[in-house]
Amino acid sequence: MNGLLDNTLINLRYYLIYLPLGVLGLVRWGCWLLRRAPAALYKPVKNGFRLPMSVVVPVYQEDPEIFAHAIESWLANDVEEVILVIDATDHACRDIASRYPVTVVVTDVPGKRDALVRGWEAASTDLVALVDSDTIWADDVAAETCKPFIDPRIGGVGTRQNVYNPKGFLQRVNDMFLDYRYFDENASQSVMGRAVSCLSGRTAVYRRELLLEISDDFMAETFMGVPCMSGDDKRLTTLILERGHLAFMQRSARVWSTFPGTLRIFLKQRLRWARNTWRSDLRALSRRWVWRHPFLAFTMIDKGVSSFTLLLAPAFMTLAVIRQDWFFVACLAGWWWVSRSMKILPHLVRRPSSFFLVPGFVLVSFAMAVVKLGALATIRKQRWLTRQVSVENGVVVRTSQSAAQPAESEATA
Amino acid sequence: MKPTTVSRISTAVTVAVTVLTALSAVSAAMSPAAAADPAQSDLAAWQRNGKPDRLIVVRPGVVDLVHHGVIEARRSPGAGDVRMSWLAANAGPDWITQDSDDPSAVQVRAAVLLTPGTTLRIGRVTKKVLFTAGGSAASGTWIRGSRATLDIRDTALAAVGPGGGDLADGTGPRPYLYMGAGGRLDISDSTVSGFGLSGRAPSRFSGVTWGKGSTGSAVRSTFQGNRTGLRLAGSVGVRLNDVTAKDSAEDGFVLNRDTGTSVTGLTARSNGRNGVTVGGTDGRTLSRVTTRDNKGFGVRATPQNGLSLVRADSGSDRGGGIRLLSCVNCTVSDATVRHTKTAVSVTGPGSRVTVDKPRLSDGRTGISLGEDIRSATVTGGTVGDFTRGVSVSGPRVTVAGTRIDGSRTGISVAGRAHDVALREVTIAGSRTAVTAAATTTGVSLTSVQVRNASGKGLASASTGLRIKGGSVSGAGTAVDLGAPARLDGLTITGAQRGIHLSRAVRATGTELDVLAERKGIEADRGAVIDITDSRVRAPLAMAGDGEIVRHGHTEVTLPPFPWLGFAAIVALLSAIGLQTVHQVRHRRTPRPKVARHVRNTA
Repeated sequence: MNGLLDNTLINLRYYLIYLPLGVLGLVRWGCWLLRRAPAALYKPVKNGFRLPMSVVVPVYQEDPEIFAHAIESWLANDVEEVILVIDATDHACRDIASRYPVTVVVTDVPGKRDALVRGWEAASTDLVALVDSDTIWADDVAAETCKPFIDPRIGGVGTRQNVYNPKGFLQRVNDMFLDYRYFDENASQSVMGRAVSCLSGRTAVYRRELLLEISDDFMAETFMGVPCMSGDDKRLTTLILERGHLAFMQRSARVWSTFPGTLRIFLKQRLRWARNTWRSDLRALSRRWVWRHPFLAFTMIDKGVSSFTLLLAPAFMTLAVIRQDWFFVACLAGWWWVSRSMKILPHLVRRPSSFFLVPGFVLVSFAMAVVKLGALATIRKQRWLTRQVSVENGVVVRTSQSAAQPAESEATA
Repeated sequence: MKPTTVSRISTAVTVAVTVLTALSAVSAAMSPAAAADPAQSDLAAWQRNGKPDRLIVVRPGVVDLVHHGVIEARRSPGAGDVRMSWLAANAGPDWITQDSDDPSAVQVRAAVLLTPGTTLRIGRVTKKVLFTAGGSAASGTWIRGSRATLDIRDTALAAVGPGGGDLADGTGPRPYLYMGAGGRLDISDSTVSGFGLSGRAPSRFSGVTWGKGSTGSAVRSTFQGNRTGLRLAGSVGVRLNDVTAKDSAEDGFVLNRDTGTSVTGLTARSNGRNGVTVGGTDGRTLSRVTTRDNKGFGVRATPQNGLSLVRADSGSDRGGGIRLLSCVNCTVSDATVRHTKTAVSVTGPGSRVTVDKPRLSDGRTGISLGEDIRSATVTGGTVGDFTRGVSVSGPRVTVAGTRIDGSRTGISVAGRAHDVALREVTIAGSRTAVTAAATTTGVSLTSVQVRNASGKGLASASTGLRIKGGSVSGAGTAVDLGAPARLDGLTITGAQRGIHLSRAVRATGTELDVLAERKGIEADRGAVIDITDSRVRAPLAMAGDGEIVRHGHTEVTLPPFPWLGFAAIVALLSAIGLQTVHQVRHRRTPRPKVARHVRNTA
């Protein structure tokens, strides 16, 4: 009898310890399948609809070669005009721009938001594509992004993005994150209510009349009393959706952008994006409009919760190592590898060699969860982190004139 | 003078001395008055004690200095005890040299004989006594006595070369202390180093020896680099308390035929043979014996009755921890042994031993019970990280309440073992928890718990094995039977295979609860198992070409469905399915047209 009781207790202890992780994993997988199922049914809009389009590009200390490639790719799209809003201190980019048939607006006001507003105010077409200066377009991006606008309710259209010629582990991981986003989150949001949570600032096309309408709100964004400097793309998407318009991701429009290859810049970029996401999603979830898009609300909540739950898996792994439960350790590690591979199948089909990067991808995901929690704890901080600008006394100012940094697009992950 | 002349004179002197000695012996035998003559007695003592070159004979009220058998001088210390400081001051530098710089240090150049009724005290003034070693056998230094007292306190006794320097290895002969019948030897807060005749010299001169009928004590003292650190040879009522023997050429402590010895706090370290050797005496108790790094056993007990070894602590002794040879009614309690070949071994005819609450770790065998023992009992305690935790080769062995962890084989029953009972034993983390060989009989397991055996929980070829209660949780094969057995109330969980019966084996089981991951019960061709009121759950509950006969309320079911695993597989298949849907829907999506420098376009 004692032996039986003892065995029962052993089994009970085992299940009490590890069962919650299994149940939690099941719930997380259920949430993912809820997103993945509509995403699998996604198809880009196909028609012959076309509207005139301007390309507006804030430019600040861009890599000259990438910048030239980017200008050439925009011009190859046969857009009506390309407006480059170049920082007054950036003579190198102004020299490059002078070689192409583009409109140059020189600004001495630091900050991306002001440059964007100047750009769309200078534009003259129905549609305005807001583009990062390191983003290279395919030849049909303008044509493809026009197609969803056949629906008058559509206010903004996003594109599918990838890393420009990825090299090294971090850029490959970034490419995996991007595919995960455009084949999963954005695709499902486009299918379920045409309400994408963020039209990435690397390339997003809006109706100009809407941009003019939201200019003041866009420039005056604050969070808990602090003016917001970064997160412009998320803000624009939110303002569009808030006014009852729709946001769609047209995956057939493809663009490529540069990504950091060093861990330091990678982490800083992710920290900035995570702060923007927390601010935007927490604010949205406190408003009524988001509940008109229940799937969008669900994905926002799901993303917030996952920041916490994702860290439980490594915690259980640590517990298993301490208990020297090597069978469980091997099972959990194997499960991480296999399950995460299943979740990024669209990327693995495209790049099978990434299968061997999946363990690293998993570890980076855990690190990102820590970064997200750090971002939540420092949500009121306003720093670009990868550029020499910041908000001081409510005004965007340059923190240094000297260092030439590669510009990064901001897309809230 | 010519050498031949010197030789003749020397021969003449020797002959004369021999003749005189013979005459004195004869006269002593013939006349009591002559025997009382100190000169005659000194000569007799000189002869009896190996004819040393220089012999100091301490008699009541008289000290004779005997040089080559002739009394060279006579000193009178007065009534009472003789002190080493007095001897150093009065014997002369050829006998005892006093350090001119340090009056507390002396070098003894003569043998010292304590006659009955005398007392020599070392320690109040003299703190360092160097005994000259080397040279010939006759030039050796020692202190012997019988019916006398030698009292050494707060003193360092050491052997040195003739010039006072350190002794080289192999230099002989070395000094020793020996107290004989009726004598008393007390050593406290002192150090004795480099003592003991080597080679074929009698063992009583191997360092510091309490001889037959002597008594005394050794307290808070260290015996270092002796042939034998300390020896009790037939002593009576000696007290050993907080004594250390280290770096001895042979054993650290030898306790042989002594009676009434009180032992607490012995430490034997880095000795050339065993740390402690005990034998020849019944009813002895040794407590708090600590042994480290000895080349032989930590504690070696030769044939005796009623030895009680309490809280022995052995570490890194090369020969083994505790060895009991033909020890009858002996008990080893609360022993700690680690990092050695065999922690506790019991062998020899008639051995009857109890090992209580041992804490044994790291080695080849935790407890070895030999074939020729009479009986043994192991109760409580822990045995961990051995190749074999407990090895039972002899009869009438009981192991009860002991926990065995991390040993390749938990308990091995083999050899001439019979009537072996394992009760409430826990064995965890073994490859094979319990093995019982075909040569054994009458093996029973009661409430034995086996956990996480990587191979077999119980492997038996022992006819008539009996299992009552207990459990096996986690094993390749929980119970592997190669001979008839009876299993009652056994619970098996987490095993790949619950019970396996080899060809033609017959077994019975009642109230078995088997939960296996692959096979519940597998019986090979010709094997038969009768199970009654049992439950067998496994994907393949019954397997093999043998016969499994069910009686009473025996239930055979599949194991609980692994819902989580099933859900995981469904989730993975869903992901693949959804990806397939996606692939089909986008099968005609062309590659984008883009400048050639963009390569990530798939």
